[in-house]
Amino acid sequence: MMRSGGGPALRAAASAIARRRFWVTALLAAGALLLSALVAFAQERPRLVVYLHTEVKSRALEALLAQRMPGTEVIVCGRYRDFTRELARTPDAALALEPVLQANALTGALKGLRGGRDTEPYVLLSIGATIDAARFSTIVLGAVDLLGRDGTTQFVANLLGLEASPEIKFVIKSEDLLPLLQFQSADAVLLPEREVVRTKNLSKLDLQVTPLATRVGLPAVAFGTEVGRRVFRPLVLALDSETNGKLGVDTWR
Amino acid sequence: MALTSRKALGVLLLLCGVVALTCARGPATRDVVAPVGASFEDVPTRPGVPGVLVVLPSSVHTREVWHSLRDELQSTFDVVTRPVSSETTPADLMREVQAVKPRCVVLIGNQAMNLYAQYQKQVPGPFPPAVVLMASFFEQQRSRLENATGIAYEIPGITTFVKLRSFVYRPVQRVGVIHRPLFAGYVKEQRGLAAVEKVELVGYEVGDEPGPYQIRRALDHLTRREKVDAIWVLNDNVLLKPELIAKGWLKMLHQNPIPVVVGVGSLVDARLHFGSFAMLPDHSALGLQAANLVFKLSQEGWKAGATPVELPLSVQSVIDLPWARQRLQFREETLDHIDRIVQ
Repeated sequence: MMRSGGGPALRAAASAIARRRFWVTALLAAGALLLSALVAFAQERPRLVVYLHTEVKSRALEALLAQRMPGTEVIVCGRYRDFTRELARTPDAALALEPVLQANALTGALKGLRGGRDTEPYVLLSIGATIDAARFSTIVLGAVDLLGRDGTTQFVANLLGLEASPEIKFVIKSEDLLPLLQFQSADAVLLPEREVVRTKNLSKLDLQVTPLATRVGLPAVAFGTEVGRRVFRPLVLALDSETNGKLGVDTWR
Repeated sequence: MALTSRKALGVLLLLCGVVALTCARGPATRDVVAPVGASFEDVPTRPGVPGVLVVLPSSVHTREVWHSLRDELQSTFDVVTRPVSSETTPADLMREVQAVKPRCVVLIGNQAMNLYAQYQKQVPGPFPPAVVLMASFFEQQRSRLENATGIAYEIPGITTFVKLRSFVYRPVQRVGVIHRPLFAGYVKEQRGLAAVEKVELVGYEVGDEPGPYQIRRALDHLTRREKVDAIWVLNDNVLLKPELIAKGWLKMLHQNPIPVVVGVGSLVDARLHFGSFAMLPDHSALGLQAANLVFKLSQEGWKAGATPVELPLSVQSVIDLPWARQRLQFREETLDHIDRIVQ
Protein backbone atom coordinates (compact mmCIF):
# COMPACT_ATOMS: atom_id res chain seq x y z
CA MET A 1 0.00 0.00 0.00
CA MET A 2 1.33 3.47 -0.95
CA ARG A 3 1.93 5.62 2.13
CA SER A 4 3.91 8.67 0.94
CA GLY A 5 4.95 10.65 -2.16
CA GLY A 6 1.50 10.15 -3.60
CA GLY A 7 0.92 13.57 -5.33
CA PRO A 8 0.90 12.50 -9.03
CA ALA A 9 -0.52 9.14 -8.13
CA LEU A 10 -3.33 10.76 -6.19
CA ARG A 11 -4.11 13.11 -9.11
CA ALA A 12 -4.14 10.14 -11.48
CA ALA A 13 -6.40 8.25 -9.11
CA ALA A 14 -8.71 11.28 -8.80
CA SER A 15 -8.84 11.60 -12.57
CA ALA A 16 -9.62 7.88 -12.89
CA ILE A 17 -12.40 8.23 -10.33
CA ALA A 18 -13.82 11.26 -12.18
CA ARG A 19 -13.78 9.30 -15.46
CA ARG A 20 -15.45 6.36 -13.80
CA ARG A 21 -18.08 8.65 -12.28
CA PHE A 22 -18.74 10.17 -15.71
CA TRP A 23 -19.26 6.75 -17.29
CA VAL A 24 -21.37 5.50 -14.41
CA THR A 25 -23.57 8.62 -14.62
CA ALA A 26 -23.81 8.28 -18.39
CA LEU A 27 -24.72 4.61 -18.13
CA LEU A 28 -27.33 5.31 -15.45
CA ALA A 29 -28.84 8.08 -17.56
CA ALA A 30 -28.94 5.82 -20.61
CA GLY A 31 -30.51 3.07 -18.53
CA ALA A 32 -33.14 5.45 -17.16
CA LEU A 33 -33.94 6.66 -20.68
CA LEU A 34 -34.23 3.12 -21.95
CA LEU A 35 -36.42 2.13 -18.99
CA SER A 36 -38.73 5.10 -19.44
CA ALA A 37 -38.96 4.36 -23.16
CA LEU A 38 -39.86 0.75 -22.39
CA VAL A 39 -42.43 1.82 -19.80
CA ALA A 40 -43.91 4.32 -22.24
CA PHE A 41 -43.98 1.64 -24.94
CA ALA A 42 -45.68 -0.83 -22.58
CA GLN A 43 -48.17 1.82 -21.49
CA GLU A 44 -49.07 2.74 -25.02
CA ARG A 45 -49.86 -0.83 -26.04
CA PRO A 46 -53.45 -1.94 -25.43
CA ARG A 47 -53.50 -4.13 -22.32
CA LEU A 48 -55.41 -7.37 -21.81
CA VAL A 49 -55.61 -8.84 -18.32
CA VAL A 50 -56.35 -12.55 -18.13
CA TYR A 51 -57.42 -14.56 -15.09
CA LEU A 52 -58.22 -18.20 -15.83
CA HIS A 53 -57.50 -21.46 -14.05
CA THR A 54 -56.21 -23.68 -16.83
CA GLU A 55 -53.82 -26.60 -16.78
CA VAL A 56 -51.36 -24.40 -18.66
CA LYS A 57 -49.02 -22.40 -16.45
CA SER A 58 -49.55 -18.62 -16.40
CA ARG A 59 -46.10 -18.11 -17.91
CA ALA A 60 -46.90 -20.35 -20.88
CA LEU A 61 -50.38 -18.90 -21.37
CA GLU A 62 -49.02 -15.36 -21.27
CA ALA A 63 -46.37 -16.23 -23.87
CA LEU A 64 -48.92 -17.94 -26.11
CA LEU A 65 -51.42 -15.07 -26.00
CA ALA A 66 -48.69 -12.47 -26.48
CA GLN A 67 -47.62 -14.36 -29.59
CA ARG A 68 -51.20 -14.50 -30.89
CA MET A 69 -51.83 -10.83 -30.11
CA PRO A 70 -48.83 -8.91 -31.41
CA GLY A 71 -48.61 -5.24 -30.53
CA THR A 72 -50.53 -5.69 -27.31
CA GLU A 73 -49.60 -6.28 -23.71
CA VAL A 74 -50.98 -9.46 -22.15
CA ILE A 75 -50.87 -10.00 -18.39
CA VAL A 76 -51.95 -13.37 -17.00
CA CYS A 77 -52.80 -13.39 -13.29
CA GLY A 78 -52.68 -16.55 -11.21
CA ARG A 79 -54.52 -15.18 -8.18
CA TYR A 80 -57.83 -13.35 -7.87
CA ARG A 81 -56.24 -10.56 -5.85
CA ASP A 82 -53.65 -9.96 -8.55
CA PHE A 83 -56.47 -9.80 -11.08
CA THR A 84 -58.43 -7.23 -9.07
CA ARG A 85 -55.24 -5.18 -8.65
CA GLU A 86 -54.76 -5.22 -12.41
CA LEU A 87 -58.41 -4.24 -12.93
CA ALA A 88 -57.78 -1.21 -10.73
CA ARG A 89 -55.28 -0.07 -13.37
CA THR A 90 -58.16 0.02 -15.92
CA PRO A 91 -56.95 -2.37 -18.60
CA ASP A 92 -58.33 -2.12 -22.13
CA ALA A 93 -59.81 -5.61 -21.86
CA ALA A 94 -60.23 -8.40 -19.32
CA LEU A 95 -60.62 -12.12 -19.97
CA ALA A 96 -62.00 -14.30 -17.18
CA LEU A 97 -64.86 -16.61 -16.32
CA GLU A 98 -68.22 -14.87 -16.65
CA PRO A 99 -68.93 -14.94 -12.86
CA VAL A 100 -65.53 -13.37 -12.19
CA LEU A 101 -66.29 -10.53 -14.60
CA GLN A 102 -69.75 -10.08 -13.06
CA ALA A 103 -68.29 -9.94 -9.55
CA ASN A 104 -66.23 -6.98 -10.73
CA ALA A 105 -69.14 -5.18 -12.43
CA LEU A 106 -67.90 -6.11 -15.91
CA THR A 107 -69.98 -7.49 -18.75
CA GLY A 108 -68.69 -10.16 -21.10
CA ALA A 109 -69.05 -8.57 -24.54
CA LEU A 110 -67.42 -11.57 -26.21
CA LYS A 111 -68.51 -14.92 -24.84
CA GLY A 112 -66.57 -18.14 -25.12
CA LEU A 113 -68.56 -21.14 -26.35
CA ARG A 114 -68.01 -24.85 -26.00
CA GLY A 115 -70.36 -27.31 -27.63
CA GLY A 116 -72.45 -24.31 -28.69
CA ARG A 117 -73.13 -23.14 -25.13
CA ASP A 118 -71.66 -20.32 -23.06
CA THR A 119 -71.91 -22.19 -19.78
CA GLU A 120 -70.44 -25.43 -18.49
CA PRO A 121 -71.36 -27.96 -15.82
CA TYR A 122 -69.42 -28.36 -12.59
CA VAL A 123 -69.03 -31.56 -10.57
CA LEU A 124 -67.81 -32.85 -7.25
CA LEU A 125 -65.03 -35.40 -7.34
CA SER A 126 -64.62 -37.75 -4.40
CA ILE A 127 -62.98 -41.07 -3.57
CA GLY A 128 -64.89 -44.31 -3.61
CA ALA A 129 -68.47 -43.01 -3.67
CA THR A 130 -70.46 -40.07 -4.98
CA ILE A 131 -71.71 -37.41 -2.56
CA ASP A 132 -75.37 -37.45 -1.67
CA ALA A 133 -76.96 -33.98 -1.99
CA ALA A 134 -78.24 -34.30 1.57
CA ARG A 135 -74.59 -34.28 2.75
CA PHE A 136 -73.53 -31.17 0.81
CA SER A 137 -73.76 -28.86 3.82
CA THR A 138 -71.59 -31.03 6.08
CA ILE A 139 -68.72 -32.06 3.83
CA VAL A 140 -65.27 -30.48 3.68
CA LEU A 141 -64.92 -29.28 0.12
CA GLY A 142 -61.80 -28.33 -1.83
CA ALA A 143 -62.24 -25.43 -4.23
CA VAL A 144 -60.08 -23.08 -6.26
CA ASP A 145 -60.03 -19.57 -4.77
CA LEU A 146 -61.83 -18.20 -7.82
CA LEU A 147 -63.32 -15.02 -6.38
CA GLY A 148 -61.51 -14.36 -3.11
CA ARG A 149 -62.51 -15.94 0.19
CA ASP A 150 -65.99 -14.43 0.54
CA GLY A 151 -66.85 -14.46 -3.15
CA THR A 152 -65.81 -18.09 -3.58
CA THR A 153 -67.77 -19.11 -0.49
CA GLN A 154 -70.91 -17.60 -2.00
CA PHE A 155 -70.12 -19.07 -5.43
CA VAL A 156 -69.81 -22.56 -3.91
CA ALA A 157 -73.02 -22.19 -1.90
CA ASN A 158 -74.89 -21.18 -5.09
CA LEU A 159 -73.51 -24.14 -7.01
CA LEU A 160 -74.49 -26.57 -4.29
CA GLY A 161 -77.91 -24.96 -3.90
CA LEU A 162 -77.25 -24.08 -0.26
CA GLU A 163 -77.79 -20.92 1.75
CA ALA A 164 -74.45 -21.31 3.50
CA SER A 165 -71.44 -23.01 2.02
CA PRO A 166 -69.84 -26.04 3.70
CA GLU A 167 -66.28 -25.79 5.05
CA ILE A 168 -64.01 -24.95 2.14
CA LYS A 169 -60.32 -25.68 1.69
CA PHE A 170 -59.15 -23.05 -0.77
CA VAL A 171 -56.36 -23.70 -3.26
CA ILE A 172 -54.70 -21.37 -5.76
CA LYS A 173 -54.55 -23.75 -8.74
CA SER A 174 -56.92 -26.44 -9.93
CA GLU A 175 -54.05 -28.96 -9.99
CA ASP A 176 -53.84 -28.58 -6.18
CA LEU A 177 -57.29 -30.11 -5.73
CA LEU A 178 -56.08 -33.68 -6.23
CA PRO A 179 -53.66 -33.56 -3.24
CA LEU A 180 -56.61 -32.58 -1.02
CA LEU A 181 -58.19 -35.93 -1.88
CA GLN A 182 -54.91 -37.85 -1.67
CA PHE A 183 -54.19 -36.47 1.82
CA GLN A 184 -57.84 -36.97 2.84
CA SER A 185 -58.01 -33.27 3.73
CA ALA A 186 -61.30 -32.89 1.88
CA ASP A 187 -64.28 -35.16 1.27
CA ALA A 188 -64.70 -33.86 -2.25
CA VAL A 189 -63.36 -31.23 -4.60
CA LEU A 190 -65.24 -28.90 -6.91
CA LEU A 191 -64.16 -28.54 -10.52
CA PRO A 192 -65.51 -28.02 -14.05
CA GLU A 193 -66.64 -31.27 -15.64
CA ARG A 194 -64.12 -30.84 -18.47
CA GLU A 195 -61.27 -31.32 -15.96
CA VAL A 196 -62.50 -34.69 -14.75
CA VAL A 197 -60.82 -36.76 -17.45
CA ARG A 198 -57.46 -35.07 -16.94
CA THR A 199 -57.65 -35.52 -13.17
CA LYS A 200 -58.63 -39.16 -13.50
CA ASN A 201 -55.73 -39.71 -15.91
CA LEU A 202 -53.32 -38.30 -13.34
CA SER A 203 -54.50 -40.41 -10.45
CA LYS A 204 -55.00 -44.08 -9.62
CA LEU A 205 -57.59 -43.20 -6.97
CA ASP A 206 -61.12 -44.50 -7.43
CA LEU A 207 -62.54 -41.07 -8.28
CA GLN A 208 -66.30 -40.73 -8.44
CA VAL A 209 -68.22 -37.88 -10.07
CA THR A 210 -71.25 -36.13 -8.56
CA PRO A 211 -72.83 -33.83 -11.17
CA LEU A 212 -74.22 -30.47 -10.06
CA ALA A 213 -77.31 -28.90 -11.57
CA THR A 214 -76.13 -25.29 -11.80
CA ARG A 215 -73.98 -24.36 -14.77
CA VAL A 216 -71.20 -21.74 -14.72
CA GLY A 217 -70.36 -19.15 -17.36
CA LEU A 218 -67.39 -19.91 -19.61
CA PRO A 219 -64.54 -17.46 -20.21
CA ALA A 220 -65.66 -14.12 -21.61
CA VAL A 221 -64.00 -10.87 -22.58
CA ALA A 222 -65.03 -7.47 -21.22
CA PHE A 223 -63.77 -4.30 -22.83
CA GLY A 224 -62.66 -1.46 -20.59
CA THR A 225 -61.96 1.05 -23.35
CA GLU A 226 -62.95 1.69 -26.94
CA VAL A 227 -59.36 0.96 -27.95
CA GLY A 228 -59.68 -2.36 -26.19
CA ARG A 229 -62.82 -3.22 -28.13
CA ARG A 230 -61.28 -2.19 -31.45
CA VAL A 231 -57.99 -4.04 -30.89
CA PHE A 232 -58.90 -7.16 -28.92
CA ARG A 233 -62.27 -8.10 -30.43
CA PRO A 234 -60.82 -9.18 -33.81
CA LEU A 235 -57.77 -10.73 -32.15
CA VAL A 236 -59.88 -12.90 -29.82
CA LEU A 237 -62.27 -13.88 -32.62
CA ALA A 238 -59.26 -14.96 -34.70
CA LEU A 239 -57.69 -17.18 -32.05
CA ASP A 240 -56.83 -20.65 -33.36
CA SER A 241 -58.34 -23.83 -31.98
CA GLU A 242 -55.19 -24.76 -30.04
CA THR A 243 -55.22 -21.47 -28.14
CA ASN A 244 -58.98 -21.62 -27.61
CA GLY A 245 -58.60 -25.16 -26.29
CA LYS A 246 -56.09 -23.93 -23.73
CA LEU A 247 -58.55 -21.21 -22.69
CA GLY A 248 -61.28 -23.84 -22.27
CA VAL A 249 -63.50 -22.81 -25.21
CA ASP A 250 -64.15 -23.86 -28.83
CA THR A 251 -65.00 -20.48 -30.26
CA TRP A 252 -66.18 -16.92 -29.43
CA ARG A 253 -69.37 -15.03 -30.11
CA MET B 1 -21.10 -41.64 -19.45
CA ALA B 2 -18.02 -41.67 -17.22
CA LEU B 3 -16.67 -38.43 -15.89
CA THR B 4 -13.15 -37.49 -16.89
CA SER B 5 -10.98 -35.95 -14.17
CA ARG B 6 -11.30 -32.44 -15.70
CA LYS B 7 -15.01 -32.84 -15.97
CA ALA B 8 -15.14 -34.15 -12.41
CA LEU B 9 -13.19 -31.13 -11.18
CA GLY B 10 -15.60 -28.82 -13.01
CA VAL B 11 -18.57 -30.68 -11.59
CA LEU B 12 -17.10 -30.48 -8.10
CA LEU B 13 -16.52 -26.73 -8.35
CA LEU B 14 -20.00 -26.19 -9.71
CA LEU B 15 -21.53 -28.35 -7.03
CA CYS B 16 -19.60 -26.57 -4.29
CA GLY B 17 -21.34 -23.39 -5.39
CA VAL B 18 -24.73 -24.99 -5.88
CA VAL B 19 -24.77 -26.96 -2.68
CA ALA B 20 -23.22 -24.26 -0.52
CA LEU B 21 -26.13 -22.06 -1.50
CA THR B 22 -28.75 -24.60 -0.66
CA CYS B 23 -27.38 -26.62 2.21
CA ALA B 24 -26.61 -26.23 5.86
CA ARG B 25 -26.08 -29.03 8.36
CA GLY B 26 -28.62 -31.81 8.77
CA PRO B 27 -31.83 -31.64 6.80
CA ALA B 28 -31.61 -29.19 3.94
CA THR B 29 -32.96 -25.73 4.55
CA ARG B 30 -34.01 -23.32 1.86
CA ASP B 31 -34.79 -20.15 3.69
CA VAL B 32 -32.76 -16.97 3.68
CA VAL B 33 -31.95 -17.45 0.02
CA ALA B 34 -31.43 -13.84 -0.85
CA PRO B 35 -31.89 -10.75 1.25
CA VAL B 36 -34.61 -8.46 0.05
CA GLY B 37 -34.04 -4.76 0.28
CA ALA B 38 -37.62 -3.58 0.60
CA SER B 39 -39.26 -3.70 4.01
CA PHE B 40 -42.47 -5.56 4.81
CA GLU B 41 -45.23 -2.97 4.69
CA ASP B 42 -48.03 -3.51 7.19
CA VAL B 43 -51.23 -1.53 7.02
CA PRO B 44 -51.94 0.46 10.21
CA THR B 45 -53.59 -1.56 12.95
CA ARG B 46 -57.30 -0.98 13.62
CA PRO B 47 -58.88 -0.78 17.06
CA GLY B 48 -60.68 -3.94 18.08
CA VAL B 49 -59.22 -6.02 15.23
CA PRO B 50 -57.29 -9.11 16.38
CA GLY B 51 -53.65 -9.18 15.41
CA VAL B 52 -51.55 -11.87 13.76
CA LEU B 53 -47.82 -11.52 14.38
CA VAL B 54 -45.74 -12.79 11.48
CA VAL B 55 -42.09 -13.50 12.28
CA LEU B 56 -39.79 -14.21 9.37
CA PRO B 57 -36.34 -13.70 7.89
CA SER B 58 -36.24 -11.58 4.76
CA SER B 59 -35.77 -13.60 1.57
CA VAL B 60 -37.36 -13.93 -1.83
CA HIS B 61 -39.34 -16.99 -0.74
CA THR B 62 -40.45 -15.74 2.68
CA ARG B 63 -41.60 -12.53 1.05
CA GLU B 64 -43.69 -14.48 -1.45
CA VAL B 65 -45.34 -16.44 1.37
CA TRP B 66 -45.88 -13.28 3.41
CA HIS B 67 -47.46 -11.42 0.50
CA SER B 68 -50.05 -14.11 -0.11
CA LEU B 69 -50.66 -14.65 3.63
CA ARG B 70 -51.16 -10.94 4.28
CA ASP B 71 -53.55 -10.58 1.32
CA GLU B 72 -55.73 -13.35 2.72
CA LEU B 73 -55.67 -12.32 6.37
CA GLN B 74 -55.83 -8.55 6.30
CA SER B 75 -59.57 -8.17 5.91
CA THR B 76 -60.12 -10.05 9.19
CA PHE B 77 -56.86 -9.57 11.11
CA ASP B 78 -54.24 -6.88 11.59
CA VAL B 79 -51.06 -8.40 10.20
CA VAL B 80 -48.00 -7.21 12.13
CA THR B 81 -44.74 -8.28 10.51
CA ARG B 82 -41.42 -8.55 12.30
CA PRO B 83 -38.38 -9.58 10.24
CA VAL B 84 -35.69 -11.46 12.14
CA SER B 85 -31.99 -11.78 11.49
CA SER B 86 -29.06 -13.57 13.06
CA GLU B 87 -28.93 -10.68 15.57
CA THR B 88 -32.48 -11.24 16.86
CA THR B 89 -32.70 -12.76 20.33
CA PRO B 90 -35.52 -14.61 22.12
CA ALA B 91 -35.84 -11.51 24.33
CA ASP B 92 -36.54 -9.39 21.23
CA LEU B 93 -39.25 -11.84 20.24
CA MET B 94 -40.71 -11.77 23.74
CA ARG B 95 -40.94 -7.96 23.59
CA GLU B 96 -42.77 -8.19 20.25
CA VAL B 97 -45.24 -10.76 21.53
CA GLN B 98 -45.90 -8.63 24.63
CA ALA B 99 -46.32 -5.47 22.59
CA VAL B 100 -48.54 -6.89 19.83
CA LYS B 101 -50.55 -9.33 21.99
CA PRO B 102 -51.32 -11.39 18.88
CA ARG B 103 -54.25 -13.76 18.57
CA CYS B 104 -51.92 -16.00 16.58
CA VAL B 105 -48.23 -16.08 15.68
CA VAL B 106 -47.03 -17.20 12.26
CA LEU B 107 -43.41 -18.35 12.27
CA ILE B 108 -41.79 -18.58 8.85
CA GLY B 109 -38.52 -20.48 8.49
CA ASN B 110 -36.18 -22.37 10.81
CA GLN B 111 -34.73 -19.23 12.35
CA ALA B 112 -38.12 -17.87 13.45
CA MET B 113 -39.19 -21.28 14.75
CA ASN B 114 -35.97 -21.76 16.73
CA LEU B 115 -36.24 -18.29 18.27
CA TYR B 116 -39.82 -18.97 19.29
CA ALA B 117 -38.84 -22.33 20.83
CA GLN B 118 -36.14 -20.57 22.87
CA TYR B 119 -38.61 -17.86 23.90
CA GLN B 120 -41.08 -20.52 25.07
CA LYS B 121 -38.34 -22.14 27.17
CA GLN B 122 -37.55 -18.87 28.92
CA VAL B 123 -41.09 -17.71 29.70
CA PRO B 124 -43.93 -19.50 31.47
CA GLY B 125 -47.02 -19.94 29.26
CA PRO B 126 -49.71 -19.80 28.14
CA PHE B 127 -48.58 -18.98 24.64
CA PRO B 128 -50.61 -17.74 21.69
CA PRO B 129 -51.25 -20.39 19.03
CA ALA B 130 -48.47 -20.62 16.50
CA VAL B 131 -48.48 -21.67 12.85
CA VAL B 132 -45.09 -22.74 11.52
CA LEU B 133 -44.13 -22.67 7.84
CA MET B 134 -40.99 -23.29 5.82
CA ALA B 135 -39.25 -25.09 8.67
CA SER B 136 -37.32 -28.24 7.86
CA PHE B 137 -39.07 -31.45 8.84
CA PHE B 138 -41.44 -29.55 11.13
CA GLU B 139 -43.52 -32.59 11.98
CA GLN B 140 -40.46 -34.16 13.62
CA GLN B 141 -39.65 -30.88 15.44
CA ARG B 142 -43.17 -29.99 16.51
CA SER B 143 -42.70 -31.28 20.06
CA ARG B 144 -40.21 -28.45 20.70
CA LEU B 145 -43.09 -25.96 20.61
CA GLU B 146 -46.18 -25.55 22.72
CA ASN B 147 -49.56 -24.83 21.17
CA ALA B 148 -48.23 -24.99 17.62
CA THR B 149 -49.23 -26.49 14.33
CA GLY B 150 -48.10 -25.77 10.79
CA ILE B 151 -47.47 -26.95 7.29
CA ALA B 152 -44.65 -29.32 6.42
CA TYR B 153 -42.14 -27.79 4.00
CA GLU B 154 -41.01 -30.97 2.27
CA ILE B 155 -43.01 -31.91 -0.80
CA PRO B 156 -44.58 -35.34 -0.17
CA GLY B 157 -43.38 -38.18 -2.36
CA ILE B 158 -46.91 -38.86 -3.57
CA THR B 159 -47.21 -35.36 -5.07
CA THR B 160 -43.81 -35.71 -6.67
CA PHE B 161 -44.52 -39.12 -8.17
CA VAL B 162 -47.94 -38.22 -9.55
CA LYS B 163 -46.44 -35.15 -11.24
CA LEU B 164 -43.53 -37.17 -12.58
CA ARG B 165 -45.93 -39.77 -13.96
CA SER B 166 -47.64 -37.05 -15.97
CA PHE B 167 -44.35 -35.79 -17.45
CA VAL B 168 -42.83 -39.00 -18.84
CA TYR B 169 -44.12 -41.82 -21.01
CA ARG B 170 -42.18 -44.47 -19.12
CA PRO B 171 -44.04 -46.04 -16.20
CA VAL B 172 -43.48 -44.75 -12.67
CA GLN B 173 -44.58 -47.60 -10.43
CA ARG B 174 -41.51 -48.19 -8.27
CA VAL B 175 -39.44 -45.30 -6.98
CA GLY B 176 -36.15 -45.71 -5.17
CA VAL B 177 -34.95 -43.51 -2.34
CA ILE B 178 -31.60 -43.51 -0.54
CA HIS B 179 -31.78 -42.40 3.07
CA ARG B 180 -29.83 -42.32 6.28
CA PRO B 181 -31.15 -44.03 9.47
CA LEU B 182 -32.32 -40.59 10.71
CA PHE B 183 -34.87 -40.48 7.89
CA ALA B 184 -36.18 -44.05 8.18
CA GLY B 185 -39.42 -42.93 9.85
CA TYR B 186 -40.01 -40.24 7.27
CA VAL B 187 -39.47 -42.69 4.41
CA LYS B 188 -41.89 -45.12 6.03
CA GLU B 189 -44.58 -42.43 6.21
CA GLN B 190 -43.96 -41.49 2.60
CA ARG B 191 -44.20 -45.14 1.56
CA GLY B 192 -47.68 -45.32 3.06
CA LEU B 193 -48.78 -42.14 1.30
CA ALA B 194 -47.33 -43.18 -2.05
CA ALA B 195 -49.23 -46.48 -1.89
CA VAL B 196 -52.46 -44.44 -2.14
CA GLU B 197 -51.47 -43.67 -5.73
CA LYS B 198 -50.20 -47.21 -6.39
CA VAL B 199 -46.55 -46.17 -6.29
CA GLU B 200 -44.16 -48.41 -4.40
CA LEU B 201 -41.41 -46.53 -2.59
CA VAL B 202 -38.30 -48.68 -2.30
CA GLY B 203 -35.90 -47.48 0.37
CA TYR B 204 -32.19 -48.17 0.70
CA GLU B 205 -30.61 -47.22 3.99
CA VAL B 206 -27.01 -46.05 4.02
CA GLY B 207 -24.86 -45.16 7.03
CA ASP B 208 -24.90 -41.87 8.90
CA GLU B 209 -21.89 -40.57 7.00
CA PRO B 210 -21.89 -42.42 3.68
CA GLY B 211 -19.05 -42.13 1.19
CA PRO B 212 -19.33 -42.11 -2.62
CA TYR B 213 -18.99 -45.88 -2.75
CA GLN B 214 -22.04 -46.38 -0.54
CA ILE B 215 -24.07 -44.06 -2.74
CA ARG B 216 -22.96 -45.92 -5.88
CA ARG B 217 -23.76 -49.27 -4.28
CA ALA B 218 -27.18 -48.05 -3.19
CA LEU B 219 -27.98 -46.73 -6.65
CA ASP B 220 -26.72 -49.91 -8.25
CA HIS B 221 -28.97 -51.94 -5.96
CA LEU B 222 -32.02 -49.78 -6.62
CA THR B 223 -31.62 -49.55 -10.39
CA ARG B 224 -30.30 -53.04 -11.27
CA ARG B 225 -31.69 -55.31 -8.60
CA GLU B 226 -34.87 -53.50 -7.60
CA LYS B 227 -35.38 -52.13 -11.12
CA VAL B 228 -36.95 -48.92 -9.87
CA ASP B 229 -38.45 -46.58 -12.45
CA ALA B 230 -37.17 -43.37 -10.85
CA ILE B 231 -35.05 -42.06 -8.00
CA TRP B 232 -36.33 -39.58 -5.43
CA VAL B 233 -33.59 -37.56 -3.73
CA LEU B 234 -34.35 -36.38 -0.20
CA ASN B 235 -33.31 -32.91 0.95
CA ASP B 236 -30.64 -34.31 3.22
CA ASN B 237 -27.45 -32.27 2.98
CA VAL B 238 -25.27 -35.13 4.11
CA LEU B 239 -26.30 -37.05 0.98
CA LEU B 240 -25.88 -33.96 -1.17
CA LYS B 241 -22.28 -33.07 -0.43
CA PRO B 242 -20.49 -32.06 -3.63
CA GLU B 243 -18.08 -34.98 -3.38
CA LEU B 244 -20.94 -37.47 -3.03
CA ILE B 245 -22.78 -35.99 -5.98
CA ALA B 246 -19.73 -35.99 -8.25
CA LYS B 247 -18.23 -39.33 -7.26
CA GLY B 248 -21.33 -41.14 -6.13
CA TRP B 249 -24.66 -40.05 -7.61
CA LEU B 250 -23.55 -38.77 -11.01
CA LYS B 251 -21.27 -41.70 -11.80
CA MET B 252 -24.14 -44.13 -11.55
CA LEU B 253 -26.95 -41.97 -12.85
CA HIS B 254 -25.10 -41.00 -16.02
CA GLN B 255 -24.45 -44.66 -16.76
CA ASN B 256 -28.06 -45.64 -16.31
CA PRO B 257 -30.31 -42.64 -16.95
CA ILE B 258 -33.64 -42.77 -15.15
CA PRO B 259 -35.75 -39.85 -13.91
CA VAL B 260 -34.24 -38.30 -10.80
CA VAL B 261 -36.46 -35.97 -8.80
CA VAL B 262 -34.83 -33.55 -6.38
CA GLY B 263 -36.23 -31.02 -3.94
CA VAL B 264 -33.75 -28.22 -4.60
CA GLY B 265 -34.10 -26.21 -7.80
CA SER B 266 -30.40 -25.55 -8.23
CA LEU B 267 -29.73 -29.29 -8.52
CA VAL B 268 -31.53 -29.27 -11.86
CA ASP B 269 -28.72 -28.09 -14.06
CA ALA B 270 -28.27 -28.65 -17.77
CA ARG B 271 -24.50 -29.09 -17.33
CA LEU B 272 -24.65 -31.52 -14.41
CA HIS B 273 -27.69 -33.60 -15.37
CA PHE B 274 -28.27 -34.63 -11.77
CA GLY B 275 -31.90 -33.80 -11.00
CA SER B 276 -33.94 -34.29 -14.14
CA PHE B 277 -36.93 -32.78 -12.35
CA ALA B 278 -37.33 -30.74 -9.19
CA MET B 279 -40.56 -30.41 -7.24
CA LEU B 280 -40.43 -27.33 -5.04
CA PRO B 281 -42.87 -25.64 -2.69
CA ASP B 282 -45.11 -23.03 -4.33
CA HIS B 283 -44.59 -20.21 -1.85
CA SER B 284 -47.55 -18.14 -2.93
CA ALA B 285 -49.85 -21.14 -2.50
CA LEU B 286 -48.17 -21.88 0.83
CA GLY B 287 -49.20 -18.43 2.05
CA LEU B 288 -52.81 -19.14 1.10
CA GLN B 289 -52.70 -22.54 2.81
CA ALA B 290 -51.30 -20.91 5.96
CA ALA B 291 -54.09 -18.35 5.90
CA ASN B 292 -56.60 -21.22 5.61
CA LEU B 293 -55.02 -22.73 8.71
CA VAL B 294 -55.25 -19.46 10.67
CA PHE B 295 -58.94 -19.13 9.74
CA LYS B 296 -59.53 -22.76 10.69
CA LEU B 297 -57.89 -22.18 14.10
CA SER B 298 -59.99 -19.06 14.65
CA GLN B 299 -63.17 -21.00 13.90
CA GLU B 300 -62.20 -23.91 16.12
CA GLY B 301 -61.09 -22.07 19.26
CA TRP B 302 -57.37 -21.52 18.52
CA LYS B 303 -56.34 -25.03 19.60
CA ALA B 304 -53.17 -25.18 17.55
CA GLY B 305 -51.64 -27.98 19.59
CA ALA B 306 -54.56 -30.24 18.69
CA THR B 307 -54.56 -29.37 14.99
CA PRO B 308 -52.66 -31.77 12.73
CA VAL B 309 -49.67 -30.57 10.74
CA GLU B 310 -50.73 -30.24 7.11
CA LEU B 311 -48.86 -31.35 4.04
CA PRO B 312 -48.10 -28.73 1.38
CA LEU B 313 -50.66 -28.87 -1.41
CA SER B 314 -48.94 -27.00 -4.17
CA VAL B 315 -45.69 -27.51 -6.02
CA GLN B 316 -43.69 -25.80 -8.68
CA SER B 317 -41.91 -28.03 -11.13
CA VAL B 318 -38.52 -27.60 -12.79
CA ILE B 319 -37.17 -29.69 -15.67
CA ASP B 320 -33.77 -30.33 -17.21
CA LEU B 321 -35.31 -30.26 -20.65
CA PRO B 322 -32.42 -31.49 -22.84
CA TRP B 323 -31.85 -34.49 -20.57
CA ALA B 324 -35.54 -35.29 -20.24
CA ARG B 325 -35.98 -35.13 -24.01
CA GLN B 326 -32.93 -37.24 -24.84
CA ARG B 327 -33.10 -39.85 -22.11
CA LEU B 328 -36.38 -39.93 -20.24
CA GLN B 329 -39.19 -40.16 -22.80
CA PHE B 330 -40.53 -36.75 -21.89
CA ARG B 331 -44.13 -35.95 -22.90
CA GLU B 332 -43.76 -32.79 -24.99
CA GLU B 333 -47.40 -31.84 -24.48
CA THR B 334 -46.77 -31.31 -20.76
CA LEU B 335 -44.13 -28.63 -21.30
CA ASP B 336 -46.77 -25.94 -20.67
CA HIS B 337 -47.52 -27.54 -17.30
CA ILE B 338 -43.98 -26.98 -15.99
CA ASP B 339 -43.05 -23.85 -14.08
CA ARG B 340 -39.37 -23.54 -14.92
CA ILE B 341 -37.43 -24.98 -17.82
CA VAL B 342 -33.66 -25.41 -17.59
CA GLN B 343 -31.79 -25.80 -20.87
